[in-house]
Amino acid sequence: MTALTRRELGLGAAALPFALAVDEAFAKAEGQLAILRAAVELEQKAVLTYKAAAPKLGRSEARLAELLSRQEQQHADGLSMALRNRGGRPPSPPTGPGQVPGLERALAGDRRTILTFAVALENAAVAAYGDALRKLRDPRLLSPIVSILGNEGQHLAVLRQALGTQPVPGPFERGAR
Amino acid sequence: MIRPVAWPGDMHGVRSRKDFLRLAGALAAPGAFLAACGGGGEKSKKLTPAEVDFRLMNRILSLELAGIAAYTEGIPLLRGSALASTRRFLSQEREHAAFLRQHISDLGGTPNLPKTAAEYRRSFPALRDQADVLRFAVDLENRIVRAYVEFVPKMSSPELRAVAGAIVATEAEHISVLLGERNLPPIPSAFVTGTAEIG
Repeated sequence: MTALTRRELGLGAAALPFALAVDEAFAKAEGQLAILRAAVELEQKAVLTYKAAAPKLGRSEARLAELLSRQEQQHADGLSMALRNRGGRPPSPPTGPGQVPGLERALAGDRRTILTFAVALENAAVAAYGDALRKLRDPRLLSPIVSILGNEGQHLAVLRQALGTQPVPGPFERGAR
Repeated sequence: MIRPVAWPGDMHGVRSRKDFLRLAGALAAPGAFLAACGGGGEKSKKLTPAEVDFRLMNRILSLELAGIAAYTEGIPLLRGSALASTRRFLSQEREHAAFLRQHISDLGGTPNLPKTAAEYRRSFPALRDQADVLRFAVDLENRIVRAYVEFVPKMSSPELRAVAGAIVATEAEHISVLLGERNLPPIPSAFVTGTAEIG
């Protein structure tokens, strides 16, 4: 973990439970179906996070949160279909902030707390998809996973800019692990 | 340079589950792999997994080297935040190239060498001002991403795939910052395929 991502996590203590939950879910997931299911769950939680965050942010940051929510939904939809096509069943999406570890606490804070939670979320996603690239073998899954990973990196860069931090701190974006 | 990937239509606008699956299917096409490995002349030779990996990395190395040359050429034309960002990106592209060179050598391959500055200059579009440089930088970053997106599924080493993913994420971040410098939407699509968004 880089010093910056440590600091990002440190700033967003509320995000730590989320990052740890994602880390644990992906570390446990070994088979293709389990990895896809963990990825869908992660994306569903990201969708809910950005939807819940948007009304609590100023106009331009709310628009950003809405965009990120739509893109995470596209990831969730694609991954859910890939999971179903392989005989798996996507998890039910979370219905409220209480189902995303740390989110309620983040939403009770200011914009900086919320954005920092989002940075930690994206860091966890980047790390999780890097882990998935290591574990998966199916080429029909690897390309979309790389494409999603790149997009999560872009989310991270733009959120870091919103927080006034360096958008691309290092040459190898591995997320927080 | 890699050959253009046979993208199924306008893939930079992957916006639906259907598009996602089309993307997945197209990238698994066997023809793309033969193109990546150097074409028909090597069809009959059975490559070891290490040979496949270092050949793929050499293709990407050539693109990273072109990116380094482009940033080097363009930096004198930049100012302000664009200058600061591209200086950082140049340094990061050098680190990617160093990683690839080292890994290719470790696998028994010979890393591709950079062209001369004059050769690169001849192959680049005219770079007259900041707008030219930023436009070309986005184009090159997209080409690098496209190569990784095509080649990662062919890489045999799990650790190499993970590092390649880390580089893709970084290149995608570069694209977002560069698009922002051009006052364009920094995250134009939910799936980063490397297909140029900008003409």
